[in-house]
Amino acid sequence: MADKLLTCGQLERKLSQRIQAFYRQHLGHQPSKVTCQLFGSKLAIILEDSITSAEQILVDEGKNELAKKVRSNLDDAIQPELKELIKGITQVEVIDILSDATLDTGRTGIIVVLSQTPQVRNPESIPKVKS
Amino acid sequence: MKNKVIGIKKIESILSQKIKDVYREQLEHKLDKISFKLFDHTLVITLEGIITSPEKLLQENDRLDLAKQVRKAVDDVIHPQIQDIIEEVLRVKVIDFLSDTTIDNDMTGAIAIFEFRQKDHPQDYEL
Repeated sequence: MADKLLTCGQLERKLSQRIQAFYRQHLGHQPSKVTCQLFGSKLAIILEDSITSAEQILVDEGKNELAKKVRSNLDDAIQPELKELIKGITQVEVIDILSDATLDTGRTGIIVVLSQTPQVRNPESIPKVKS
Repeated sequence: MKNKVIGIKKIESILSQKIKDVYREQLEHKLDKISFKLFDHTLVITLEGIITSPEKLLQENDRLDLAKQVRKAVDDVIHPQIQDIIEEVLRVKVIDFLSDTTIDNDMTGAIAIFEFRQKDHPQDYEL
């Protein structure tokens, strides 16, 4: 049974690849890099170059507030499916997703709150949350 | 030279205390828990129990939209201070600070992307 489980690194890589494809499929724009890091029952996701061309045009035209509104609405729109995607890969429930983006740098940061730490072959490699 | 090395636990303890102080001094509010995850040039922080009593009261009285507006205004004031604390304690320059709050789950999450200042080196920290 344990043999079928992914290692923590494999799970993080799988999440990164699938999330990169998810953004391409839903927003027509593929982030250049997606990094996933599990810590305790939380998952941090960092997307580089995550801003679509349409949003970039708004920024270039000085319509920053509208671009921020568009980004916020896009995040809200894709969130239910992103939750399902993460649940499908990690096999644990997604309780909440926190998300923010910087239009200047094109970077998006997401923190996913999971119901529990996902099962992996090497659980000792997932850092326990310090507080 | 050895005494220049700062342990990660010490750094987290200082960060934690300074962030708690901001909430206590400016919002008269005690945070439940602060968690950290440091990797590469990235620090992830989660703050639990961030909702103040007035916001809770608004939420409980079907004024969730107003509670969200209040929270956004509070975050706009508090989050830059958290960014400053990270820069001061870690001796880094934060080049991106991404943060969001969920009222439903009473939690703030922040991701700080930073670069080390020229005079400091990553080996000064025992990460």
